[in-house]
Amino acid sequence: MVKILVGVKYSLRVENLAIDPKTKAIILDETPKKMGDMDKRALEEALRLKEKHGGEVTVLCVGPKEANKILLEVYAMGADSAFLIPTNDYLDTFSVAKIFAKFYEKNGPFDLILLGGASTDSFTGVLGARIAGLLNLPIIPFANQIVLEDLKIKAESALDDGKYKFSAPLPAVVTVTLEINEPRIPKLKDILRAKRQKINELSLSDLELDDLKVTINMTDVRAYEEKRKQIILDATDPSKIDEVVDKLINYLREEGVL
Amino acid sequence: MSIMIYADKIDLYSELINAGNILREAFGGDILGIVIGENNVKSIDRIRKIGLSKIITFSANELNEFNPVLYAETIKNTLEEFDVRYVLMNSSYKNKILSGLLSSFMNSALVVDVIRLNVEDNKLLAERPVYSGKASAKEEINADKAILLIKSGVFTPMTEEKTEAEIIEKLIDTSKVSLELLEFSPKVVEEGVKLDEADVVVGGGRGLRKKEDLKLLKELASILGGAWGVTRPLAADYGWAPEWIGISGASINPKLYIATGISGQPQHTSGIRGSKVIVAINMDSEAPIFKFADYGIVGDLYQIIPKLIEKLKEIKEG
Repeated sequence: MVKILVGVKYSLRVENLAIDPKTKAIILDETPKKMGDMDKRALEEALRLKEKHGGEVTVLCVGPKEANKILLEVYAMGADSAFLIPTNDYLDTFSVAKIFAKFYEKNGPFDLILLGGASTDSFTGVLGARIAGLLNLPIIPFANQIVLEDLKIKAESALDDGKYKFSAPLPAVVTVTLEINEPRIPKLKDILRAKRQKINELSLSDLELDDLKVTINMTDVRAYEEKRKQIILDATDPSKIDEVVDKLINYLREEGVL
Repeated sequence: MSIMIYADKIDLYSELINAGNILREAFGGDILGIVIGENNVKSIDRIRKIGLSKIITFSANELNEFNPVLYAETIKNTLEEFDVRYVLMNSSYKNKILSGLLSSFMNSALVVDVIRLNVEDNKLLAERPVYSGKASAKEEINADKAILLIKSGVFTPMTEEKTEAEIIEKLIDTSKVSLELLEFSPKVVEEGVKLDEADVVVGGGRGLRKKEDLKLLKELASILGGAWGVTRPLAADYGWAPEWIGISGASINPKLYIATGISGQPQHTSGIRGSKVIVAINMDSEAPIFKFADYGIVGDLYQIIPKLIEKLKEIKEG
């Protein structure tokens, strides 16, 4: 039996960012959102561990009220319970880590905290480690593979210079990569069932975190301007290839990069 | 009060010291270095005169390979001993985990992937790319202590010779650490020019039909004296290469980048932003990559690359 706490983020779809054409500011309200890609794999991994060893999967999401959409998906995939901590304010990762740590202490015990290695939108990749630091738990980051045996978790981490095989006693924090699995696609009956399941809401006061203070303020977020020349040459007609390649070589010589 | 510098590659200390100098000018204090692992400690002479007042070294055997919990415990004690307020590290996956743990231990702010750092009215401001590198965010630090992970290449390395640092050797206490490293398999580095150091990079994406076709990239890269690389799906899903070009893999900054058969996902395009000139070759005239290119060729890479190789060879042979 293994009790797993999974974290999911209601993330921006970065491929569809809404950008103010004048100021280049990002319009968050108009940008579509989804469950984080790595978060979904963390949930999938939790469900697989539960299927193998028995147990329970609890999912926690900190985000706006609309994030309950992804919690429906979480239920459809097979989670046992889902919690939303609704907040509209910007929270830095430290605040989110404190919320997870408090939730863990109040709603535990859990054997494992599973998270995505990094969020799909802000991609800092530090939340798991911050939670582990607050709870004094071991962490295995960016895992490509997880095995649970004899009350120990073994996982392979893909880091900058190679692969690290770690082993940690439970409870532990593990964060996963995109490569760890292919998440299941819920069936229609699962989606219908999910609609009847209750999304639990907790406030920061419920977690005794009324005085939560951010350590970082995001003061300005602006899209980069793409200032490329965008000179396009058409070589779809094979007889043009010779000419187009000559042109390209000339351009590159003018640029001084050949 | 002091400022601590830690890098997971010895060459990066001389860049980080220039970030440290910004903080020192604004807030005062000494800049200390912490060096972990036998191999790094052996190379310590290379960073002895870059402006660090002290270098604290840990060369215990257990520290030769990365263990985030053990490294964090090791650094934590040193931070307390030297009253460290700011920690600067190079931005890497390993350091994200290490700094995540440390920031919780120290109750400090943490900003990763910093590409700009300055102090205004006594407030520390950092800028970093967000949303798959499509945007940049300015962040104001609102805490007494902070850890900042600086992207490599943002600060120029210190070249002036400064007063020699005092060396303090330390031992570790490993009894408390619960995380065990069972095995480390280093990344296989292919021979040839390294992606992040190359002047010319040729990249391949899903427009390549099979692994053998990578020889097209290799040949083009070799005639240009550059490196070749692939996108994430080719490396992570197909296993055609050990690493990929993109924000989650290797960020590149060559003079010339040639993207072949690459559609241009944000994940990839944000990793190539540092390139001086970008060329894209793709069949699909609607591919997003053309918006990130200075020169785009719409056409079949299987015909265009061989032609390009042929003509470059002619030029070379004069």
